[in-house]
Amino acid sequence: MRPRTLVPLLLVLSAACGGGSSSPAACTPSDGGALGCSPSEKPVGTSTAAAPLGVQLLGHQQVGTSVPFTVPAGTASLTIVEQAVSALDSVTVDCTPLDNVAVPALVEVGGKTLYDDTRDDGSFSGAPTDPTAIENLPAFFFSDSPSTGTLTIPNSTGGLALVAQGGGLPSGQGTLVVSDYAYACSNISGCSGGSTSGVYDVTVLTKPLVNGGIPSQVTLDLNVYFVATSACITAHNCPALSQNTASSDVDLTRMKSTLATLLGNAGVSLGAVQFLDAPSTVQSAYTAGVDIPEVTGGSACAPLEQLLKNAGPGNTMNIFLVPFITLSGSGLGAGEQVVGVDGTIPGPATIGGTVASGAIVSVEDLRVGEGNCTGSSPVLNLTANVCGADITAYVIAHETGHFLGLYHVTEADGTEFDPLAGTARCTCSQCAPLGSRSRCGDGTATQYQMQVSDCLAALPNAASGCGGGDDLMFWLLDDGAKGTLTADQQSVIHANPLVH
Amino acid sequence: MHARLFCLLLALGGTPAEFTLAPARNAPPASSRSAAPAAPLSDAEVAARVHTYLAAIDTPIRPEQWQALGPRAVAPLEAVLSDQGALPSRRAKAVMALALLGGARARSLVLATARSDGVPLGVRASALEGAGHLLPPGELFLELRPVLEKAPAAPVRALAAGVLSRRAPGGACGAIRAQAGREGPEERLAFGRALERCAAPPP
Repeated sequence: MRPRTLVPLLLVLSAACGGGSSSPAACTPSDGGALGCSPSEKPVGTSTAAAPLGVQLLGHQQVGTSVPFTVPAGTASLTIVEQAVSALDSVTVDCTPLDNVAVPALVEVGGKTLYDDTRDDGSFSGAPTDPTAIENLPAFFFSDSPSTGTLTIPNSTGGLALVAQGGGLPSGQGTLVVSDYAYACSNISGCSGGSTSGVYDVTVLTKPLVNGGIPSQVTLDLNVYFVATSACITAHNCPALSQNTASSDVDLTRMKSTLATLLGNAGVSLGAVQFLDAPSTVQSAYTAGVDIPEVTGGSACAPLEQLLKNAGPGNTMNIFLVPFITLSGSGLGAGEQVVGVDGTIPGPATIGGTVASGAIVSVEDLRVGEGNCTGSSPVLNLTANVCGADITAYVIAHETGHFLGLYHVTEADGTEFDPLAGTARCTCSQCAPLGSRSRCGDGTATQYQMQVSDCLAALPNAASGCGGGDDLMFWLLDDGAKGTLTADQQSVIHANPLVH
Repeated sequence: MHARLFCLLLALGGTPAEFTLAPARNAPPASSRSAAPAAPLSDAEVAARVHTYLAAIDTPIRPEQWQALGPRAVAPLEAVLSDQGALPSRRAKAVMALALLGGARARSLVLATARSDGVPLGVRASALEGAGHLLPPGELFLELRPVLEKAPAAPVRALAAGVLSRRAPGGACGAIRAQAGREGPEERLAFGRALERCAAPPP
């Protein structure tokens, strides 16, 4: 999915909702809902980053403020984290509440613009000289990140090239303009419910180059929180999930081993792994799964985000193993389950305890097909001889990829791609079966959805140039998946301050 | 991808491409899309769609996408639901898809799963949600009240409370409050959102 950035999106919404008028329209209950909660339910975390990472705690800053910071020479990546101290939970564009997403409006360093939220990004073009193509921008941002928002540069081919060709990111004095949806809304005619009074705690992290480049080998530390206390196929005779027994748990051991293999293929060593029991009150509150309600605003107050804030301090990837995940409501998903959800893309590395400090993964498949979990290679079959521990490890790796800044390489409809030129594309109009191409992007409920088999260049039925189906960040996990990550993808995750 | 992002954007007009999807440069212009009704999917295409939709990691499939597959999707979904060796997450998605498709066979499968104490928790959860799609509030309360009050597993009772509080609050909230009162303090925590909904003024 690669939508527009904030301000152009708001302009489109405003126009679509009869914008141009500043008077709010009459709203009906079907226009969507919004949650709200007190600031204490959206805690501000403190970075635990240590050398060689650089940390600049820029304090509480009002939206619209231009805040100075510095980027040392030889910097591989720059990460900006905005955490709401006092900000609206949602903003209403005409009748539609939206999450009040936190993201800087502008980031400039050494006279060069690294991020500008007011521009209307183009699409992926594959033309290296196209200045509007998303892959040629220094950074790309699209994430539903209310209350806690993170921007890491570089996360695109253009940004990676900037680092490679310039001996690091531009260095020297920089400025960032603190912003959120509400602030942007306040500057747009026809957009109601904006605010210029939001205040954010701002942290800047810088990560140095290693031997003149983005590190080629890194380590990821992992905390796995047991929210679910059982992963039983039936309710009887099934080992509990507990930090006290995790080291001898066959399925968890296999899951950990497969996760290490998947990450290892991408130059990421799995470092310290801790299995931890979530607090008993948290376990009790989520015994009936994690419900992602159908709200369009204030989701920092929703069950998922309120779970993620239980991540402890430290520079770790935090995975919460939950009984299952349901999208409730009558609209999108309408009760359907998904197997993983990441808080934000990317996540607030080095900062625990926020509403975005990790990802959730369903544990319901963990103990299925133990007998199929053999050999040292991941068993990624989906329909026969399945190994649930390996499938669960794959989902953890996928959500970790999001937390580290990766988007889906190709979205379901085959018209949207990540901002990395080095990842294989799987364009619907070129890669879907010939008889189905008339359904590409047709906007109907039978619009074609890319399959793994369409996007495996090695398969006879896949067209030349159609790839990415085996990539860890493909939108599906299906037979044929391998969990591969390209060099560009590896560079993005190696540049993230979460890995060391 | 964050699931709510899809909720957010879909809620803004029903045509997500308009707001979220910048088309590829070689895509046909919008004016040439959606001009004619889509041709029916072949049997093979329906089966392939079922397989693909069940393989999604964190991208929700919209109800109308399932519904567009029609009754020919029931058999392949039933095969997944009834396969004891299949991943529970796939079985859970399958039972919800059956509820969205509707029809006598689908309804029978969904309600049987909703009543069953022998299926994985996540599959039961989807079946309970699915019952909420299939049944009007009065029938839903009659169907799920025994689950709310008598299911052996506390999480299942809480799931029934959740569905009833959303789909049949008028008739069920009294029973939900009464059941929450009978639960132990830890079990009652999972009733929290259902009780909040019941306490909220009607829309």
